[in-house]
Amino acid sequence: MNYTDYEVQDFLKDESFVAWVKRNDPDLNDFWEKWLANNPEKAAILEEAAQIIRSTHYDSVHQLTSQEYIMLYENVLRKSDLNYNKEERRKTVPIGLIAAASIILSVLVLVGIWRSPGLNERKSVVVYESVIKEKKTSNGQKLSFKLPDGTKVILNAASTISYSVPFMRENREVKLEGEAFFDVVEDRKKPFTVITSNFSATVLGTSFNVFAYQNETEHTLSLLTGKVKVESPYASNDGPQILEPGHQIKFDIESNNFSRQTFNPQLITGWKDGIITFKDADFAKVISTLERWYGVEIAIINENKMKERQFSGTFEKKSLEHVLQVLSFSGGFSFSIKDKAVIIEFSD
Amino acid sequence: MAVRNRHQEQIGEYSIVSKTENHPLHSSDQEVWKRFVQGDELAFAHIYRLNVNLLVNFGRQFTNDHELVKDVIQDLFIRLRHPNTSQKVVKIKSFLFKCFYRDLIKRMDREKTFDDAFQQDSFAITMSPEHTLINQQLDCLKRHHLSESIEKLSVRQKQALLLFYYEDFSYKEIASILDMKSVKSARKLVYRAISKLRSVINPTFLKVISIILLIYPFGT
Repeated sequence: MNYTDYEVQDFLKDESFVAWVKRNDPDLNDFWEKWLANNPEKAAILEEAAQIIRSTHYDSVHQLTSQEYIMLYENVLRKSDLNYNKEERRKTVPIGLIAAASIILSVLVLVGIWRSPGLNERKSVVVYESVIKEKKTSNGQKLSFKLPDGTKVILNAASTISYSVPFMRENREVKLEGEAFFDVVEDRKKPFTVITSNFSATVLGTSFNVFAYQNETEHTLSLLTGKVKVESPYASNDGPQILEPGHQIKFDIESNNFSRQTFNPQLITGWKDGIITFKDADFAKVISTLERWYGVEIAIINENKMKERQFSGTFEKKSLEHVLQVLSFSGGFSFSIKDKAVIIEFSD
Repeated sequence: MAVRNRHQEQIGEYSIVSKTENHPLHSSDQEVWKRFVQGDELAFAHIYRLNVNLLVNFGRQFTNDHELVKDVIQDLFIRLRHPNTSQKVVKIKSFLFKCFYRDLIKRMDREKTFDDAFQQDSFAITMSPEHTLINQQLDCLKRHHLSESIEKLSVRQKQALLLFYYEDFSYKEIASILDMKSVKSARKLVYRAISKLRSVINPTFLKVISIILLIYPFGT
């Protein structure tokens, strides 16, 4: 090995060199400073390699919020104390007593969001400690996972799903804010219920899409297979609605009304395969969809010059720039994108 | 010429100077770990502070599931705090990364967290310019070419480059974290990534390009 023959890419592979660039280690400093003094003609090469090393960063950086930072620390301390005490006790107290004690000590955690109707009748002696689990996406993210019963869930951007663990005691219940696609594993004894801010949907085993963003005025459930029962305490319609495959039920937040129609599956569930489809969508809908999808904020200039019109189009795994380019032709606007900020400007 | 950035603030470094004697900040990884195993809460607080966000960030490159990442980290720390823990640890950061990686993959497997679309752009690298640059030799054009060729690397190769350059792990540590058979495999991974970038970083390449541009300025 002879450093004098090294090119940029050789230095980039060299552990000692990389460590010198990254760390303030007296031994490495000593060697490399001496070497550099003896080989001043190599300074440019060294500098370039060092710059490449130092400019390498994660594209997306994720950190705990300070609240999460504190909570995690406290949880670790509390739970390791619990573990420790358990160990201690096991040495001295007979197992029967521990079992009895832990049943008595178990606490049933009741959380307000689980609006379970039969709660008062259910005064059984056996109690469970239940924990609420939450899965969350921000703008521009998607997440797919399976619930403990095997049900497949694909969560669209800016959405939250929560459920209690253990999951399958009597009902399978999840609470949704935002949009998700469900492929529910059939279990005739344990119906599966999705609760949104406006309605709840109960199924046995089906696949369907729920669209329930807080900032949207129409929430929908679109059924692909199986059967769904949809109910809402707010709806002016009579009784629960039973939906057949290929149909969509829409809850209008202003009129508190359910209405039904058929739907185009690609239009509704295309998002899970990276496809955005607009069909006769108004401008506000286009903007809110793009903001969620690409995780950007869109500002509009001269909105009053915008002509009332509807947008249609299908985009499969396209960049925001491409989508806006296409929409700008028919929409009569110009746009600029700078990082996560988008400006749309209408002109006469 | 300042090749090293002396005032570089590195979260993962343990050489931060403290005036208090016998303070964990003052000691080597082995000493900090020894105190931690003996139940020194100060040592745990130190380990937590320096590593928790590094682990969160590393985990979030594999999955969008923030809660899952937090859960795995929490369980890992609880397990390490168990009084029977007696692992020998030379470098705390790489030890934590190794345990965490193994636990996270296991949990993602069990909970079937999968996301094909996400897998493709995990461990994305950005070549962001430094603020403290004195003479900027890596010009914009080159940086642009570099970013473009980095995008074409495999996820595994990007992972290795980030662990090597950003996280400051040795080949040996990378092999151990990513559960590779030998140090050689880690070396190979980094070598291959760099040779894919070679056409961009090789100075003669750019010289040739600029000569061509000088001779044929309008591409005739």
